[in-house]
Amino acid sequence: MIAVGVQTASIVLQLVAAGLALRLIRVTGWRLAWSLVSAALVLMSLWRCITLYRALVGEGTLSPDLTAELIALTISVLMVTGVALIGTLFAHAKRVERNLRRSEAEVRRLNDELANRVEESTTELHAAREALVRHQSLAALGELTGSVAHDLRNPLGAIAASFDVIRNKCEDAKVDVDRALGRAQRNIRRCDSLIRELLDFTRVKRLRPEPTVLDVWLSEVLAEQFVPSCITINRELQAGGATVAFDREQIRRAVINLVENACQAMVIDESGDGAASRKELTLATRRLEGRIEIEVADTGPGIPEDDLSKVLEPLFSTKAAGTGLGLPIVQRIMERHSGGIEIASTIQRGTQARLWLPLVRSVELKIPA
Amino acid sequence: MSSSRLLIVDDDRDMAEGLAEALELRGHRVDVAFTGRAGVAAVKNGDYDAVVMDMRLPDLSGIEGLLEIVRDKPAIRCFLMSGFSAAQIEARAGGVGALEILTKPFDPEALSRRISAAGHRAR
Repeated sequence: MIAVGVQTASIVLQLVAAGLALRLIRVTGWRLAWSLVSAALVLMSLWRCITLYRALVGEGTLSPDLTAELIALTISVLMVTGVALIGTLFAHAKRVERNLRRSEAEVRRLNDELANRVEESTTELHAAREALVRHQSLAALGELTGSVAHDLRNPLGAIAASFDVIRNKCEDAKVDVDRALGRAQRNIRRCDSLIRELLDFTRVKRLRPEPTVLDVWLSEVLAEQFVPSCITINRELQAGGATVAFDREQIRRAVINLVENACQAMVIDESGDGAASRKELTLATRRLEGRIEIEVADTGPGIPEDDLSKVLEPLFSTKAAGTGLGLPIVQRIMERHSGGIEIASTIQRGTQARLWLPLVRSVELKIPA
Repeated sequence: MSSSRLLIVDDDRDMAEGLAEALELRGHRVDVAFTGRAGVAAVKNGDYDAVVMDMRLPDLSGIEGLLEIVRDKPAIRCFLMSGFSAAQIEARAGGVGALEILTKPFDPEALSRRISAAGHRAR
């Protein structure tokens, strides 16, 4: 009876092993190998089943050797354990591999992030350095220019005084030198205003911000400004009742500079075909997210793309009588207000110069209900 | 226009003589001095209605010179010539009282009128 029990147990264990082997297909993906193993185990179990059955019904004999049967049972147990262990090992190996791949991906991601941060920092560093260099060279330029400009006023003074004498003596002697003298004196004034612009550019005036209702104030500034009668003026003042704090004298200067540039562009435009012959000056204000904009637009000949990038450089000018300091001075003014200037232009359509000031969400902005 | 006695003090000879000639044509009597000390001495010893002094002189500053002159002759009118504007000078010197400031280059005609108009220095 014990022999039957042992044999049965053996057979059952073999079948369990076969089942586990089939499961291993899923874990390891080796379909053929484990199928064969499983099939072999099943066949062996079947054969022993048949032998056992035949012994039980008296057709054959059971093996009398109990020890051999026990050894067979032990082997079956070992087989089951072995297959189970293999399964566990494989599962573990798979987990390890999965973790490894995840770690690799994480390392790659961190690398990329690091590379990005370094690039950002480098760009920021470059920008900061450029700004510093520009500031330093402007400061040096400023001192030199200031000194030279101031010294130029002495000889101009002597020239002006001398021309005054010449004019008087010619009047007395009834010699007509009016036109020539007029030219001379006009150009003395020109030299003087160039000197003033140079000095202005290099000097740093303390800001005196005052809260101002932008649209109202701009209307007044425009009204006081001389604009040639051939130019139509459009007002698109859409800042609402916004009140912004800024140094009125300096921003007024910036706006007038733009208005004068716009007028000059349209008045000296010789092409006069199509859109260019329409002379319109548009003064607009806009409230945007975080900033308020003042735009001066003209319908002049526009600025060629090559020049557009240089237009804010000091001493760059395409005008015969220009110092090239007007726009850089405007930029300086805006930057000191923590704002800026943007210039866009289309050839033969016109130019739009935009000044912007930051809006601080606190006391400075008041919009009436 | 009434004529006045003027002294111009500037180390730039062309400036001094050019201005002197321009003012003389308008009937004023003008003398020139080319150093600060010479100018101060001339005013002390002379009888001028107004002195026009350049801000930058080799031996002393125009402001100092004028202050010295005013101490000695309180009634004299003082004009300070400079390449700076009045606002700039006030910012630097912190107030210059009744000093009149001329920014170069200026029109001698305007100066002549100012000199003739009021006559004596306002205190």
